[in-house]
Amino acid sequence: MTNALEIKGLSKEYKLGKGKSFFALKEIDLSLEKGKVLGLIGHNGAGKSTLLKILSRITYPSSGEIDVYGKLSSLLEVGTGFHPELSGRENIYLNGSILGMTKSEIKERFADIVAFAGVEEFLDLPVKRYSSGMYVRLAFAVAAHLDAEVLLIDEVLAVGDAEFQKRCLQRMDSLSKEKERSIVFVSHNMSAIVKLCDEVAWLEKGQIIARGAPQEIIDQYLAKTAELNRDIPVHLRDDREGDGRAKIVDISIAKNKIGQFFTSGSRLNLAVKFELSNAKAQNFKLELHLFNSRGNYLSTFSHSANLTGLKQESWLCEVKDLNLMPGDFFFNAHLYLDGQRADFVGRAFYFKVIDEKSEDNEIAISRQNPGIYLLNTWTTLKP
Amino acid sequence: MLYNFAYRDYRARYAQTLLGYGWAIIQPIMAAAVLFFLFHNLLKVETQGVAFLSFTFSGLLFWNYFAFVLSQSSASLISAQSMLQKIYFPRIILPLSKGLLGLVELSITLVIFLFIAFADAQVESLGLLSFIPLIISVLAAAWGLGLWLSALSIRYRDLQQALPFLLQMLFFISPIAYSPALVQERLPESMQALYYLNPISGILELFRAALFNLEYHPQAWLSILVAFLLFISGWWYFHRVERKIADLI
Repeated sequence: MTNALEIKGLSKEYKLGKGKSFFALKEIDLSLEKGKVLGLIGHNGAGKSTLLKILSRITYPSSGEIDVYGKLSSLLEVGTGFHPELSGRENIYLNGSILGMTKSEIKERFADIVAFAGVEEFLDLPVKRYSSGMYVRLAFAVAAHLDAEVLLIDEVLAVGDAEFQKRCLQRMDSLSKEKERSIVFVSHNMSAIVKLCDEVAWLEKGQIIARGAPQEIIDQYLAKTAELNRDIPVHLRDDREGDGRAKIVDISIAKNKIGQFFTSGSRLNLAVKFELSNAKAQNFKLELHLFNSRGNYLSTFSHSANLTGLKQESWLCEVKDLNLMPGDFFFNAHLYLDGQRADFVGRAFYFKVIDEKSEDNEIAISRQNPGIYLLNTWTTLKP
Repeated sequence: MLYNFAYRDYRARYAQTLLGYGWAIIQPIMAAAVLFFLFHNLLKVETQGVAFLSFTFSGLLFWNYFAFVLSQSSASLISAQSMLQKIYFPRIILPLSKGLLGLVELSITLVIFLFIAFADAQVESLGLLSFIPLIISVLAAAWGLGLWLSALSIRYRDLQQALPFLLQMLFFISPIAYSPALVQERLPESMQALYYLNPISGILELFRAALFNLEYHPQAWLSILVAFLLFISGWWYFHRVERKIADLI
């Protein structure tokens, strides 16, 4: 197999002054085969984006070697390079040209780009009038039609709706499978990584600490993540996403304070507190997504209401019957203001469900993939 | 790509404005009117025997382009910060594209100038041809300084504050609305060449000499040399720091 990308001993050092320095990347060795998709995972600040920036020549390494076979293009942020005053049509040409396409190449793909983005009717409208969804779709569409042998894509799936995310993934998949394009893909969306990638590299503190088959590496990564975030209170977490107009400051068990242990079928009362910045907003929507320790999604508790105008909002979420199998669970917390995501904290709250019968607990722990408990009773049937 | 960047700025500049190109017409005319009142009516300065409006407008023609390209290109990196951190493209395109953008207003000013000059003064039509090499020299000077300042202002943001002040000083020491002789007369022989270290001085003198059939100082050519030296050194320095732009900005 031929390689599309080879990296040897790549380091990036930032001088902090007073003789101190910081290695954003340290001695990275990595290669990518032609037509394959490599996923990069790791916590914020692990060096994923720095690596993509170096590969796309935005910033330069302190030492090391990079060989790219063919043209390389990158989409590190959706919509940079778009000018809000220009029309969709003009922005396609402008952005395409900035990303390295010639005018005739853009012309050739113009219809495909427009169709992919689904903005036919709005082509001559300035993009500042576009909805955020349309904006994102158009930006991705331009990048997805680049004729590069190697494509770098940073967390772009964090935006856009589910339907569009699906199309993005399909497009990337067909680029790699049908056109033999090689892709380096950074995401926090583990299910997207599993679906799309042939191989995953896990970056931590500027170094690759594991590399291999997607599901295997992701399982290791999630187990480590769970350990790391477990004891940090929500208001101290800085690995947030969202535009910052509001901040979830507390998630805790209310009323029945018996620690973070529950028995199956018991009542769960969660108190959620969030603080608003000065931004004006009419309403909010809180969503708590329930996952088991393996990172499998189970359910969502959500609530929306008008804001009262106070600096802080406190809400209580009551779950009457916590019908879960024994095991570890956590919530991801999302907060939307006027429909736009203002805050997101992954693994914001952990709890454990235990069973009175200790042997059931052991089964659950050995399986580490607990699901929902459905009430069941057994009786003998007479033949 | 140069054209695309210039086009982007061009569209943005005139989007949602009431007067649009009107500004390109009003600005130099207002400036000329103020200078006419101050320098001609009040101070009664000498303009090498050329009608004051033609003389001054020929100065503004070059000056406005110079000032526009210089101020836009020096700010070009800082104002494109987010793009510089997310997209790769040859960085030098940003400051250089401003030279192209300035051509829009330059050509409008040129048309006004021609109307005024032919109505108001004795014009040597062939001398008009000198406009092309001379405006290229002005562009070289503006690009050169712009490359220096844009690259330096990544580290030293204060340059952005110093620039308007610098431009204002340069406007007054350049012979835009008065005859260069006014300054030269007061300088000793040995210092006269220094006057042409300001590229605007010599370039303006040469243009007027060709257009209005005037004498010019033998050392005025020095300005053209300075303009191209600025351009070459600016280009060199920009390439030297280009790799660090995204890290430092």
